[in-house]
Amino acid sequence: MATPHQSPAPDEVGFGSQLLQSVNRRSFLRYSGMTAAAVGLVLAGCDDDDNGGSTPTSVNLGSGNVGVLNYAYALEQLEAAFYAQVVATPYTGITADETAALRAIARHEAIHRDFFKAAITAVAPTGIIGNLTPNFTGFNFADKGSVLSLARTFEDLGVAAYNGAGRLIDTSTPAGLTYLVLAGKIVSVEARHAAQIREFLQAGSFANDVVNALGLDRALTPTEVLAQAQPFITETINGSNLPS
Amino acid sequence: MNLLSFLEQLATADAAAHPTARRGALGQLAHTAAAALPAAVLGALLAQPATAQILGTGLDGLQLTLRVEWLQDEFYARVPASLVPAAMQADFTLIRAQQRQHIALLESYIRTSGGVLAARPSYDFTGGRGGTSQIFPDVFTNLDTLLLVAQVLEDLSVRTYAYALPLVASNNDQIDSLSRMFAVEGRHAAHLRQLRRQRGATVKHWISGAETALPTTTANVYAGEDRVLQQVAGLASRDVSTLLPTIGGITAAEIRAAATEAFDEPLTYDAATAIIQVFAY
Repeated sequence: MATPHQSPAPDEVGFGSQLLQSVNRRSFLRYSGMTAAAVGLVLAGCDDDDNGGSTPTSVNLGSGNVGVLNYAYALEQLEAAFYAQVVATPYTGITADETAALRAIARHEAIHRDFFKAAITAVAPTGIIGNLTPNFTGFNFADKGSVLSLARTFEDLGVAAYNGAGRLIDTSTPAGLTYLVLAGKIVSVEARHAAQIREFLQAGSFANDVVNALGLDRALTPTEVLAQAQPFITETINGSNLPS
Repeated sequence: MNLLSFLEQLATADAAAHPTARRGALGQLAHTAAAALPAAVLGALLAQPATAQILGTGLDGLQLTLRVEWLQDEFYARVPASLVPAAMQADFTLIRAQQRQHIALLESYIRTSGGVLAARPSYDFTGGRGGTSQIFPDVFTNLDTLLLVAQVLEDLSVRTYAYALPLVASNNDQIDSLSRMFAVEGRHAAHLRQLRRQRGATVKHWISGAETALPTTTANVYAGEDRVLQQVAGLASRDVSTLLPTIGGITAAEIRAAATEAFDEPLTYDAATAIIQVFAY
């Protein structure tokens, strides 16, 4: 059983100094989640410090490769925030195997998120989106079925998003080709997560209904993915400038 | 790499086993003909390390992933039903069916790309290459060994797709399909690891560092999986283990492990070929 003090570590400590920004809202959530019984209230009380205390109503992912990177960064932010909360407030009846897997996944997603932050900051310091505000209002983190079902949704969605994003990357430059390499390095890890979460929910479901008769996992467009992710993000995500 | 060893590699490159290295090297030399030779050759040599990870053509990527999918298809075809519990049998049936679907798609891509489909080689999953010097003599009599070899093959497949994906960058349909097959292989690999965990093996669902040398120290399917440096913008690298802090009850070893687990690393063409050749001859 995880204790709150074993929650995945926040991202602001140990992060490269040039990337170090003010303590972000998610970290606050992560700590406050250790003691807060009402997660929704904690979230409601948080402001996005990147915007001087006012929550933006819309976030534009931008265009070109930077837009695709921001798209991945937004999804990783959502996944990382979700698992951070799952680890901070373990659901009732969690097993040791589930704890170990969820803690590891939380770390992986935090690394993905912070890696994208570093990468986008390096290539487009003025184009990077800010910290998003997750919205899990009304979601019951204490209920095992709810948590694992949403985890499955997020992991399968992540896989489908990366699968759909590959063709959107402009690989005509060495940097662009690097992004395709990276998308690959991450998609199979998301797939590993998905398989494991699915196994917790139902034995033998690791690759069944998400794989078609050609042996292909799902691929979704940003429009399709963002429609599923949007309910869990406070800001309105605008992907209309992404490549298609 | 110096000029002599480069030329030596060129001379000894096995055209069948490593077509593009040879083609690429020859191409580079051909380019030098019109230019001042010494400087141009030097430039080509210096360029080698940067491209080593994704050396090859789209066809090379397709052919290599096909060879790995064949390997897996042949493996599951040989699994004795009597050795495998019913629930696991259903998993294997699903996995093999999806791998055969991948084979059909990869073969069609190779044909339409103008490639030639080779005949399948001989297979020996003991690792003995038809001889008596076997690495896994009980692969089809001991369920734990069987699952271990299956895991190795699935992880090999994941890392081979990681190699192949950027090679098909000029073809959107192939990017799409390879990424989607790649993800399915990731699901399979995680599940094989889960099956091993259920039988008491100490293994995670994701590759954590350079795991125990398998199948041999000279053809180690996990070599390079301890990488923590990831490219930023194709120009610089970032040590992703620095992205998690050392507070909050997480040890430095756990941080480093997580940093390696978060990314599946591509194998080189030669490394993947060496592992295939442990089981195929």
